[in-house]
Amino acid sequence: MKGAPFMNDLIIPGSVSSPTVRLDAARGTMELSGESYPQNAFDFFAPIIDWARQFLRESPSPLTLELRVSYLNTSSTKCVIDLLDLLEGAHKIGRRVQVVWYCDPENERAREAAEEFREDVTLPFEIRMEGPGQ
Amino acid sequence: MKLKHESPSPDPFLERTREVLTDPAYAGNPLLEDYRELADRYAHMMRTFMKTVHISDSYQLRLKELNVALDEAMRTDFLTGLLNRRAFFDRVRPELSRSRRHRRPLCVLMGDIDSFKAVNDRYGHDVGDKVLQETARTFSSALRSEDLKVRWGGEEFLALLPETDAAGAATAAEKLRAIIEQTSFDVAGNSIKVTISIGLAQEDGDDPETAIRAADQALLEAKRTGRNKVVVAAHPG
Repeated sequence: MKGAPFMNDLIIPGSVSSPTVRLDAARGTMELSGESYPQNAFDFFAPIIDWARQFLRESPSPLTLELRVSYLNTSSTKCVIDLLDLLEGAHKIGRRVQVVWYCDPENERAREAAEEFREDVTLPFEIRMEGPGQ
Repeated sequence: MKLKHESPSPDPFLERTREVLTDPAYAGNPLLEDYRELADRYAHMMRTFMKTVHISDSYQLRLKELNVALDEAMRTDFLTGLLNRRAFFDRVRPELSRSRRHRRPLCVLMGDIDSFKAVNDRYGHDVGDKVLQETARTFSSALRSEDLKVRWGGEEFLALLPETDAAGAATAAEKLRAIIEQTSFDVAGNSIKVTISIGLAQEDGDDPETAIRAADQALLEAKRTGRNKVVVAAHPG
């Protein structure tokens, strides 16, 4: 098994107001899917950001962030920007990190939002128009 | 160059830091590097802040748009696009009080497709639904834009005709009946003709339910006496 056996995966089942989170150390993937407006987004995202920080510190493997998130409230938006900042910092020191942002093709505004997130970052950031069923 | 997420007005703090950082008087100052880092962090924080606000606005806009669409959907019959009963009851009261205030007549028209069950039995429900859609379209275009057009139930349609007395409504109803009789709907390779029976009642200053009941009775009368016809309820006054 490649990756970082010393790291735990982090799985958080989704709820109406929070996304399903699957952080897989062996595969080097962070998947978030659903809508995000939890009671306290900073508490919700703290372990996710910590996990990414730990992965980047302890594993030399590439890291991919996959987002299928159709709605983010303001504090979740801030947390995702922080997460992107962290990945951008890693990219700038030569780490292989990338972002794939999936958008519902029915929702024009979703692409606009994804493009806004992509602004100011230089790491590979792909926006894919794919329905939630894929 | 101004970044997209930068505030539209110049940031006086950043202007000031730029001055300080380029001012020869501060050259060699041991605090200058910390100062530069602080300024960088501040600029980054402001950019993140503006970006967050901007993205949040676009999500909020999307919510607003969904809200409008939801509101619209709540008032619309999904199959035919006509108003649903809920929307009708929201809008009938203001229409009634307006007609009373101006002492103008107002009529309720109730139409029902004849032998619709036979269409469903013979061609299936998909074709039946198309026939309902086509009938609704005809119903809608044959009446005036100010009339409220409602899908009342299964194959039953209601219209509220403001500024119209029983005689005027009877003319409109007869026109509608004739158009539907003459139209063939092309549905899934079938040419389907239907007819419609219509009951009419003039609203008499009571409540909408009374006029609806009267129109319903007139509709039953039209069905009982041979279908494909218009019956006007006797004016109760």
